[in-house]
Amino acid sequence: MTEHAIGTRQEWRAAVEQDYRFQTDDGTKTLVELFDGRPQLLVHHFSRTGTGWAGASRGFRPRKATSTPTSPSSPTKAAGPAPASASARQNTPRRSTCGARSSTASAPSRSRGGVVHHTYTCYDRGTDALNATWQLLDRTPDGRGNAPEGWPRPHDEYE
Amino acid sequence: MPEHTIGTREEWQAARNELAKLEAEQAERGAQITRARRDLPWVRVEKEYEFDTEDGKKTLAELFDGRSQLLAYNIMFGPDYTHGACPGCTNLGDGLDGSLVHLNHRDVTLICFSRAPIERLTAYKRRMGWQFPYVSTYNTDFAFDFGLALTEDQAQQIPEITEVIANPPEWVTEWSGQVGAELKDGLREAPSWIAFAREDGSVYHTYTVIAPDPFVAPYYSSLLDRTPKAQPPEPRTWRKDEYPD
Repeated sequence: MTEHAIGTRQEWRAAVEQDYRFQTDDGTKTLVELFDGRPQLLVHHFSRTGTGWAGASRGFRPRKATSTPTSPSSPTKAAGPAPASASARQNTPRRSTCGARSSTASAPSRSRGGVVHHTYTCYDRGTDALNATWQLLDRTPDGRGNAPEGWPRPHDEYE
Repeated sequence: MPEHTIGTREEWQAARNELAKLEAEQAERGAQITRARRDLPWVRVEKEYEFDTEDGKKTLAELFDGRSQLLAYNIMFGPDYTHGACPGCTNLGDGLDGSLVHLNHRDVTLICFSRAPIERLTAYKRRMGWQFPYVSTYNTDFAFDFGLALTEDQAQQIPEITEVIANPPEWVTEWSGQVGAELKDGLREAPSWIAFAREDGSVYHTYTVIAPDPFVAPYYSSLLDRTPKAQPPEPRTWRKDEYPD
């Protein structure tokens, strides 16, 4: 890994004080239990509405709406209708799968009582680089602009 | 664990807002580069190539499978590799199937090339459980014409390659063992992406990018860039069925 990559990790970390409980495939779990024994946790937060998702994201939700990074102007049709949190509150249709969030957290030392620190969150267009399909399309002659009907669908919903 | 700071939520938010400015700059620059990439001239492919595929012989135009765009990753798997493809390229291949259907519905056919014979590619694809089409460039000039592989003479004229062969770092020696090829043969394959367009009966080459560009990396490496801990400096990789731990 390069010096640059290490440099990006000189960020503030904030201890997660609240005791969250999450519903998982394997029953109720705490945040530290979601690490599944590893020292790092990386989460993708789906923006689609459905059962149980809202509570599962609460630990990483920014306190202020103004904390959302500025979205750069979009070269194509990539700009999404609404950020994930707004979609959820308004209970928009299931097809609105545009926004996304990714969060990471770390538990640096289990010997210190399993303290979990929140390290990083990106939102909306900030997650663009984490969408493999967009990144691949950016290398093609037509890019993202050649979509027949706008945004990608869940893979089982193509006609 | 690299040096890091523990702060309050407010301190984190202030630092995050500063980082957001850098990320926004990077995103804007990335959008400019994507536009410039699309403005590259298209170069008509005049030569006729015939590839071995899982479905028999195909021309370059036929690899488009009826679509107008072809995006291909060139996996390092030369005819001299006795154990299998490069583990790093294999990791990249593991990430492609999730995007396959979405690219196909956007008029893009996604495939992989390698220079080993098709029988070995097909067996390796089955072992890895891949879905994308895997095409052999064996017995064609295609890989050499488009810079996806080096001839022995070409390889010997590149100081970076001859230096690594003469004094290989430990992880490169391990890699040589993983693929089952001597470095003088193993390093002749170029891990790379290549894109073509098809229009009015002609095929055009539009774009190539070769390692060490960060795009020529497994998808998961972009996820690891967001995690708290940095990865080890040496890019050791394992095939998914060969992890030591």
